[in-house]
Amino acid sequence: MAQPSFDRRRVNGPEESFPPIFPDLPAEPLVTNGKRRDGRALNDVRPIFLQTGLISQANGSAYIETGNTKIACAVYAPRQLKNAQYSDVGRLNVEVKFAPFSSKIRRAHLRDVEDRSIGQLVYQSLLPAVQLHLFPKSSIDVFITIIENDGLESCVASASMAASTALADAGIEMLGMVVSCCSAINDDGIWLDPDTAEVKASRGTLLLAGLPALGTITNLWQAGQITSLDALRCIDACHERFKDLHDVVIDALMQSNRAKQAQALS
Amino acid sequence: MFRFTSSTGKARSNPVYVQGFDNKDMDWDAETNAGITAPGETIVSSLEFMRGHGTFPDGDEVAATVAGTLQRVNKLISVKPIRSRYTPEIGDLVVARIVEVQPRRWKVDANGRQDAVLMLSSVNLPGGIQRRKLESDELQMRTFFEEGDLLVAEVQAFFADGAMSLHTRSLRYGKLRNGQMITVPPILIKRLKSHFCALTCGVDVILGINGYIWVSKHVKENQQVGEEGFDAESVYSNKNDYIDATTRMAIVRVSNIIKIMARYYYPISDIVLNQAYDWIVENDYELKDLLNEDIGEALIAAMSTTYQ
Repeated sequence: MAQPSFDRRRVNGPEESFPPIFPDLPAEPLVTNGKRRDGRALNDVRPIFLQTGLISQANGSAYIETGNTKIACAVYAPRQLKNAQYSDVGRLNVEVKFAPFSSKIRRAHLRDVEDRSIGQLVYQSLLPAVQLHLFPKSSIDVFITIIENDGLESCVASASMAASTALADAGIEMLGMVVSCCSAINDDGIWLDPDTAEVKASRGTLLLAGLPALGTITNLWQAGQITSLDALRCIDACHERFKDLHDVVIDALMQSNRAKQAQALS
Repeated sequence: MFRFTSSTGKARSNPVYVQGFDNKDMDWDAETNAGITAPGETIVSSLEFMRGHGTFPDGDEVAATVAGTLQRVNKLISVKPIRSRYTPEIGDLVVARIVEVQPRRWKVDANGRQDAVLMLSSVNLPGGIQRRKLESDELQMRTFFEEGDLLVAEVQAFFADGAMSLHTRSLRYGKLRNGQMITVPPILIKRLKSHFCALTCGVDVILGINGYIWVSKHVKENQQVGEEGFDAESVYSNKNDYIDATTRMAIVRVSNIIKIMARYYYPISDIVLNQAYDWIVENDYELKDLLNEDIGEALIAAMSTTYQ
């Protein structure tokens, strides 16, 4: 992505530059014998690492890693709305930022359209879970930094889960933990949690977010060409993984809090 | 948000349905999840129990909305979040910082959900003179408290929107000087008989229930409130007294102990601070090494074994 405008306050690169040239290697097949390149089955998600409390200044925070996707999330909440009219309900703000080095092509320092659309998707996933009516006059600020990006859909899914974990870590009242799973549809069938190359090779993608504790879904995002029947199959495939993902989120929450609690009560 | 009809059941990781709740000391299900709920987790049947803070009704059941510990008062079930901002109660002693001077009031940061308010009518005049606040007082509000000043106050009342109103109408409250402030999670500070603590090492500590702690030079017996040496004129002074090197070291030592306890989530009280201070002096640790991880761990281990 080209720099939107020349910023003389930063250290800018040279005026003229050329990308490195890589030899054209024969492309690795995405699927061999029903296994993907990292050895998982089509309906497997990548292993997840999720931990809370890594950002000490924030009221709550979470860090998530799924394969190469790495996301840090900080929650500052509840904060008083400054210079704003009185409102009975709180306001949820989600801000997503790509680190400059997060993608194959270097990102600009400034926020671009993609950041905002991902922020909107995460916002929609979280909104039904957060009990905003309990936070009059306050704002709940969620800051998501994408440190490494391998599959935009998996970024949205991981960011939603990290954000709901961070919100719980901050003590924000929620109806349940938000989990999210994404899928890509290809001629071979449905691939769960696709990475960048798999998304590229697919016909379309579908993302599902929801609250397994209530059995409800909060967000559905479909892109590309998918028939309605395929879309339903994708939803089912994603939904099947919800329980596992929920376990991961709850476990991360318990691990952190349990340690603190044990000490607080001793 | 709509119900997901194609799913057969609800996914619940830890169904902690509580039968009867007959254990008085709340150690139900202690092995499996240490009594901590997760958001969306079912706790009890709503037919048997009333629901309090941190819960919501989910059909016939009560479910938690926060990650926290279950608390029960008779038939009332509530969940206390493990990490949250300070929830004020009237009469609480808080340490706070002025953020804004407004007409007839100061806006104060007291670690709550909203900024607290300190009305001009609820502060003492220098010298303890009793009279109504005049327009002239309003014009010189900055001579009492300026932006960034630290103070100790009591929660007096709440406004309609839940913001707390503070007061400093006692000579023990007011501007803070001769020390430093440390911030800890508010849950670590238990309610004590007195939150003004004079440690044996010659350092005064004010344990604000909002998680702000003030560590300062000891005020001598004869200079305390109501004694002869008490200087009523200096209550709004911005100048520190002379603090000698040993007192400075003691202040930093106590501050570092508090930081260690916050890091390991250890409840803080004057007794605990005295014990920790003695332990550090006994083991002859250098001041600059105190925040090392191994010393912190050793301190917490010693506190939980020897001093229980």
